[in-house]
Amino acid sequence: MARMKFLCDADRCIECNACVTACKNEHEVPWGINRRRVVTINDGQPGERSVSMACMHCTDAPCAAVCPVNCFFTTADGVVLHSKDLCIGCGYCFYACPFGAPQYPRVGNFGSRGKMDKCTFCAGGPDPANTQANFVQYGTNRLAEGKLPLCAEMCSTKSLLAGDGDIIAKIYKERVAKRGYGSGAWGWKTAYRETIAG
Amino acid sequence: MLVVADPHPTTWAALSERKDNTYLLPICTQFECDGSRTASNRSVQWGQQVVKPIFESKNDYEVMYLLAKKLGFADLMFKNIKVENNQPLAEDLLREINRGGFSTGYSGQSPERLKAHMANQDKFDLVSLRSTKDAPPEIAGDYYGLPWPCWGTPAIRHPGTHQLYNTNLHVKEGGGTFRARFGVERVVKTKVMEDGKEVEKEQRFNLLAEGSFSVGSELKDGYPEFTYGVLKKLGWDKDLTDPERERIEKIGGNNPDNVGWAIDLSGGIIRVALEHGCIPFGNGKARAAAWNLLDPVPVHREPIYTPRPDLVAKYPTYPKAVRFRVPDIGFDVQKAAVDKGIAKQFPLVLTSGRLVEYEGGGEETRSNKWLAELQQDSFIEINPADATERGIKDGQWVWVTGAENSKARVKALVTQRVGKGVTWMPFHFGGWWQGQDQRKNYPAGTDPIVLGESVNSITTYGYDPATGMQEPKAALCQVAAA
Amino acid sequence: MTLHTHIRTILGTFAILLAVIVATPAAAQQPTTVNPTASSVNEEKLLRELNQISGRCTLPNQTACLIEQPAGRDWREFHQVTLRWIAAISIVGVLALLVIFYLSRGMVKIESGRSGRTVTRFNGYERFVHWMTATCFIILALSGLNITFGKALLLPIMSPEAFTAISQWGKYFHNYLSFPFTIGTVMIFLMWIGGNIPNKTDVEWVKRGGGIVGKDHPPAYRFNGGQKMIYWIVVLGGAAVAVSGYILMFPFYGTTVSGVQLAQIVHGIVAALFIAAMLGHIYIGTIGMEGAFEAMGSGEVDVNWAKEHHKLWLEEEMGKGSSRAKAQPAE
Repeated sequence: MARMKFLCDADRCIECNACVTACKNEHEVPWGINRRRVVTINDGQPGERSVSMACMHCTDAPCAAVCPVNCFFTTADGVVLHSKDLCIGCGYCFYACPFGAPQYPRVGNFGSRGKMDKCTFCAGGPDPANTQANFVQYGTNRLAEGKLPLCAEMCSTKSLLAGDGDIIAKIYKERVAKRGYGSGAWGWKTAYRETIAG
Repeated sequence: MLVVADPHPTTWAALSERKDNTYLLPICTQFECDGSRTASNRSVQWGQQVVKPIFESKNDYEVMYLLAKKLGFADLMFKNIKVENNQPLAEDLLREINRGGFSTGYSGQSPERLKAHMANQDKFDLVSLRSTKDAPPEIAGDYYGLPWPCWGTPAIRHPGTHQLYNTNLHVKEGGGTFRARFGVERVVKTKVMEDGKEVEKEQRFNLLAEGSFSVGSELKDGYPEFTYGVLKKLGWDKDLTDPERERIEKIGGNNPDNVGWAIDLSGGIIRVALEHGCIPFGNGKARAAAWNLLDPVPVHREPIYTPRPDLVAKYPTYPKAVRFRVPDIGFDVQKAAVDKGIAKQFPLVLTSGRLVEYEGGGEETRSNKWLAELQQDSFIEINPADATERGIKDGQWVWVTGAENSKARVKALVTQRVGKGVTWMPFHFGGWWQGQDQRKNYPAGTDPIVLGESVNSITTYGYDPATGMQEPKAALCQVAAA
Repeated sequence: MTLHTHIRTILGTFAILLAVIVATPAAAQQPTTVNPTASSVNEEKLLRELNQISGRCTLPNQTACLIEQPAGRDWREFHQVTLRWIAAISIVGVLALLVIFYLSRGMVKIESGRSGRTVTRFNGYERFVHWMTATCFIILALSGLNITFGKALLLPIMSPEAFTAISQWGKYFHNYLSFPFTIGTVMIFLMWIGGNIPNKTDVEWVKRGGGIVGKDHPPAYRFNGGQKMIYWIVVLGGAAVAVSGYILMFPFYGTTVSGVQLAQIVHGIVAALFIAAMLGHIYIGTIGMEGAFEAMGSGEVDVNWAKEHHKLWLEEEMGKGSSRAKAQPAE
């Protein structure tokens, strides 16, 4: 079984926000909830770089470890998902997440957190069926239809790669060998405890 | 009277509280009507209505028809177009364009051909745009969407032009040459001193191509644009059909030889030229010196409002003149700005540009919630050094004052994207005016999610003399904390 | 050109050709392009310097601008291991001590027996504040402990849905009851601050074992050394859990994820110790001492109880006359 991963080749990211918009549109993610975002580091300065970041679907995911109600689970594809029926919106997964992935709608008491929302790797929720109820909670399940996450599919420069970790690592390595330099597989060391040369 | 015809109310539509003589016509989007659409690669596609017009919107065709009807010439204007319930038939509209578009190369893209392309999209190569070998005969050899120019009548099935001026292809395969647009010869008269006397000398330059022609051309050199007379000289007039010849002679009246390819409504001259491997507009040279423009070769001219007034004497803007019936007073404005020391009062250069999230004036994209979330305020980029001097922090509200004393309230984006002394504003915002929110001026439910100041309220006087394009890129401003 | 130079030229040419032939495969393997991103920001370097990576983004949710914070792993370690040990040791430890203490010492009796006469120790307002705060505290403590230990203790014995229901309600109670708890803490601080400034009597009291260890009865004013300790634990601990709690409840108003992590660490540790201390308080106020519960129950304590535990206070009260001390026979 494939181990699904994301890889953002920062050398190619042009900060067009198409991944962000694709995600929002595909899953109808409400205003203020950002499953994916593009951040520019050292904006306006030499060496500026933009990186697209979302849930990295970590190995030994910290969110799952700290969740007080055990609402997380990892699919056979290595995708970290959670059940909104079990989530109590405590915010602990956000404290523990190295990538700031968990998001909370401001529907809870005192303008604080409702049930957590995050990137699903376009794999829906606990119930894989593409029903309307599941869509409202988690968005579409593209993986079940044999499709990869839409953010990466939409990426015009193919900076953002999504899919089997071994395959996207191979694509990235080929690029690095061809152009002669890497751009750092951002987040890989923290998420997967491994790096790719370059 | 102001009429705004658009799917979304524009900046203009909401600028005033005036109720009289202001009309907002809700116009259908392309999803609400059939018709041809041109892409930025010059390909044309046939679009079908996806949804019925929502609310009370009408499509462009109906509005044009009703306007013509009101003005009393609908019968003439639409004599070749079928109209049902005030709805002109989209196919007929394109046919009308085809009939009138010989000179612009929009004559071959008939609705039938475009529809055949849409029905066989899988039969086109993604890179070359050419139809593949297994394509059905109605699209065989075509480039997808019959990219402009697509010569002659639809019947001769020109494939469209994927790459312009490509001499490596036969003109019937989408090849071409540079257009002989400026005649065959240019005569330059210069005065020179000869034996102590000033004499006028004439220099003649050949404007036709020399030794260059497209593949398969029967004329192995440059040639002028085709007329009936040219065809006769070449002996190619015998290839015209009788109806074509009759039409040409009818158009030409007493002087049929002067009838050129562009006004030959039979399309015969184009057809015959293409048959002989020639492009109807002639085979000329590309010119680097545009002698009929004010600056045949671009020269440096200081902006009208320049941060370097000391350079104006040496590099002034264009002299005063009336262009396109409008006086161009840029020269006086520039001089006055220098005299008044405007650059001291407004020490920052202001330029404008686009954001990736929004398009044009932004009414449509600012109404899209996914995009609106990505940019919520109009802003001005300002260098940290300039911001510190003015006590401005990143993200705070500032007043931007333009050199003609208009002002805008926007957020400061303190960044090194711009150099010291330079500011930049995006041009997609509207719906605020000099710090006043105009949201109440929009008809209920039509206000975009995001409103903001339009940068064009800050930009200043200036026009390109050749095109009349306004000057939105070179202005001066001052920024102060709000 | 001499023969010598000819040979030299030919050899030279040959050498260059050879060099080119040899060099070509090497060059093909080694891309000759210059790295245009050599000066670009580097993930490893940024993490080394700041231990987090953030940049500019245009979203309204500006916390989204932070894209990496490996410190979350350290917080995870705290939450999953450190806090559990601290809480378990302090709470279970105190409980164990109390059991041992009760078994060895038993209830502290009123030595001279009940006099039948009472004196008002806490008025209705004071008792109301105490019980409001206490009730909130117990619910806050239980719902808080559930967040830390529920997954290990409760989840195995019930369905995930039931456990979520409990935890969800626990969260609501925890959030809402924080307000009366905080108000109560502030009121406790204000109404009892007068009697809770540590002084010399407390030193003496502590030296003599507070009358709990041993059979002694060191004199005390209205609040003895032990009660003052509880007072300050409540006031300072309450303030700490309230401030850190509100940071967690209203996240990102003036703090970052690092701030929230720190707040949770403070909240967790202080709350655990607070609970442990309150177990001691509850013990003495109930089964630990005869006549003590009445102080917060009816508000009237037996004069003999007061004499033994708050001698100096009783003397003060008696001196004020009958307006406050109802020195009358029991009916």
